[in-house]
Amino acid sequence: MTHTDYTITIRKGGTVLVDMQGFVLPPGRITFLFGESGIGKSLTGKALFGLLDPDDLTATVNGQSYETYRASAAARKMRAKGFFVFQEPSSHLNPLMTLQEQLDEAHSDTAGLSPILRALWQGSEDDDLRDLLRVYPKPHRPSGGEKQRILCAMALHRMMTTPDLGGTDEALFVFDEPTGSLDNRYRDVVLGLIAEAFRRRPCTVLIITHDYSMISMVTEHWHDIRDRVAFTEMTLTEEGQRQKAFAPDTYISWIRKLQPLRPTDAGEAAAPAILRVEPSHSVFGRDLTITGRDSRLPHPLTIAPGTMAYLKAPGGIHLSEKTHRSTWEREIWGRKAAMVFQHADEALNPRSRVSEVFDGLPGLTISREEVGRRVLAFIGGDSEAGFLERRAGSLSGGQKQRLNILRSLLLETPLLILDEPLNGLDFASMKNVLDLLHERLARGQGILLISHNEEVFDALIPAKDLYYLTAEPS
Amino acid sequence: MRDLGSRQRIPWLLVRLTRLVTDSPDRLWAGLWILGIGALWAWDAAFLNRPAYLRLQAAFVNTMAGATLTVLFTLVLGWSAGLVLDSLSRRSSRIPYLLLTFTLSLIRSLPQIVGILIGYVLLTIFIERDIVRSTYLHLIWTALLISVFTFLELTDLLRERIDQYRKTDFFNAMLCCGIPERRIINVDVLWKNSLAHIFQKLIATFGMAIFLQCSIDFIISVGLSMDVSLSNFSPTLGSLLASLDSKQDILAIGVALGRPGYAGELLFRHLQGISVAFLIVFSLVCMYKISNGIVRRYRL
Repeated sequence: MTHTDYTITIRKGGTVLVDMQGFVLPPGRITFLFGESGIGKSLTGKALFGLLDPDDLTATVNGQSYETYRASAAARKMRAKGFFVFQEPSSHLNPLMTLQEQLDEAHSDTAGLSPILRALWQGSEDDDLRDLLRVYPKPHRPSGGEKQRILCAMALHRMMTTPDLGGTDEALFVFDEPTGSLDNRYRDVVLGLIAEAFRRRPCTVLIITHDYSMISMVTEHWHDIRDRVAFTEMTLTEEGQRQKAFAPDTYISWIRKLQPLRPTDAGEAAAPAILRVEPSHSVFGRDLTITGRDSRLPHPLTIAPGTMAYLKAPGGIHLSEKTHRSTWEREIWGRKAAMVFQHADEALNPRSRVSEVFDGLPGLTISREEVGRRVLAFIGGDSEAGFLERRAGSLSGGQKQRLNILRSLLLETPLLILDEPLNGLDFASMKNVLDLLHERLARGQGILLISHNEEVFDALIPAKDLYYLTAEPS
Repeated sequence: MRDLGSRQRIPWLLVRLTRLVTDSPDRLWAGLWILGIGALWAWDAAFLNRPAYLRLQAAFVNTMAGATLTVLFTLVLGWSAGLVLDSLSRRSSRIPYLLLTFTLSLIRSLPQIVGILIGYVLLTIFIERDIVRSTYLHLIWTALLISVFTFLELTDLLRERIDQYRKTDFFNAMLCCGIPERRIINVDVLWKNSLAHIFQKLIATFGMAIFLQCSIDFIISVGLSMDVSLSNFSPTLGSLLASLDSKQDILAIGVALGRPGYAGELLFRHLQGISVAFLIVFSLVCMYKISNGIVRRYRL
């Protein structure tokens, strides 16, 4: 890599998707790139690696046309010796080859793969793993998490064993949301393996993510290579995207300062519960059981005014789907309860303008102008008239998520259900959302929370309000 | 405005034209249709005799008005049926849904031409009994009749769109915020996300209405009863094509094929029949191309 400092522009038709100046990628280091989703992190990574489709997008890198940049010796080496782990792993895997064939195809020496695969499939029998590797990738098999681990295994194997990796500044390894489909346990395993590979063969690594909890993992476990790790954050300014250094202490000290929420006066007054869910019930052919954190015995889930309950469930239960489809009659929604869906990308009509997202909400007493003001205050749009008229589909992932949350907050229902409310948000927005939840609790609203972000919510929610959901076939 | 030199202007125009052809073929064909009709109008104004010119003008306007009315009725019937079916299909009692589906399937099972002919028989009875007198009412009745046999395609499309979007997160997320289902379906699913699909279907319906109306008017040119014949109806392109003058004009095309020197006469002496045939065929081709162009432009 001859450059460490990049200027990148990416356009689609007349729309500028990325206008990044001064993107720094130090050779021989691990760079974390945080930032809210949809801001252009993945596109920047793909542009650097030479993966953009010139028929679809027009790009320049350091003033060069994209074709010239891709053909340059440095970019070719970067690609040939490095690896790109895609955020959506399905797009990388060939559906006409088994996973084993694809692993073998990528590496002439497959001996080093086994320990990596075993580490990434902890607790699985060798036979199970062999069965999995015989599978042809299809939409539902392997799962998203398994595909992601397969791709990470390919990248890690190349990092660890490729004989001609070159100097530390030649190969580039990009991990784009490498743990997006993994639970916390496997997130730690993947990060641990990246660190292990880097210790053996230092090279240039870019980890693109919006999961700030990785910072804790790095600061706690990567002491020996900590000085070769850079934390950066991508932000969107009037001039375009910018990369700035992110001080890990900002996050660490914030996490340490988080205090369990205390029940509000309303909650302490032993007001009748807003919600009580019996510990055992059957939904869609599965028996669901709710247990309390301490007892591990069936325990009803109750939410009083001004309290927040945190419901944890292993992956694959489709908890949010069960919640909105089966728990209550539809007459409840929007009047007594509102729900924030997990994927803001899909929870908003992409063809709706920002100002139209709130049309039709029941019992909304504030004017359209007031709604506009609250949107701008919460989301921070670029200009009042322009932002409110933008289509939801054109917003960044973080803006969509905040819009998604605000739609439910405006309803002022006694109960609010939040499914992964911090997904896709940058650090500043995360704090804003949590402040808002504090405020809602103080006003007596009850909150049911579903999230994998245990680092934040374990610190915020008292142990007595933690619940686990397990499912067994009926 | 950029000031382009004459040398630059031609390539620039070519680029714009190429983009129009490749990116928006529907707009291109809409433009060609208007140009083609306009050119024919000017030619007929100059060379067609006055009474025939006025007949042709009235026939064209009536046909287009009839097709437009058919589109409107199709939209109202199709949209209503789509919503009613969707609502009934979600009720616990299946009987109303099955009854309506059965009725619609009966209509679907009837060939369009046969169904419309039966409708014309009814119209004849109404005319004989003096229930329908105005020529405008004839047009409205005909349009309504045709739309009964075209709205089902729109209903199917709308139901498909509603079913597809019902599975999406945004549909459920809006429901969970208390937004009424009717509003989500009408505004968010159909208006905001299916307009291009609906518009494409309506353009196709417009073409189909022209075709059906002309076909039926041609078929019934033999007369409907002792008292009712085509002369009781408003003139349309179909009825004009069925007139003796037009038929002779069309036959002249065959003569011109045997005697090429006679071909020039087609554009002067046989203008009525040629103009009617051109209007029908050219309009149908253009509607087909516009409809396909919309599919291409919006990647439907």
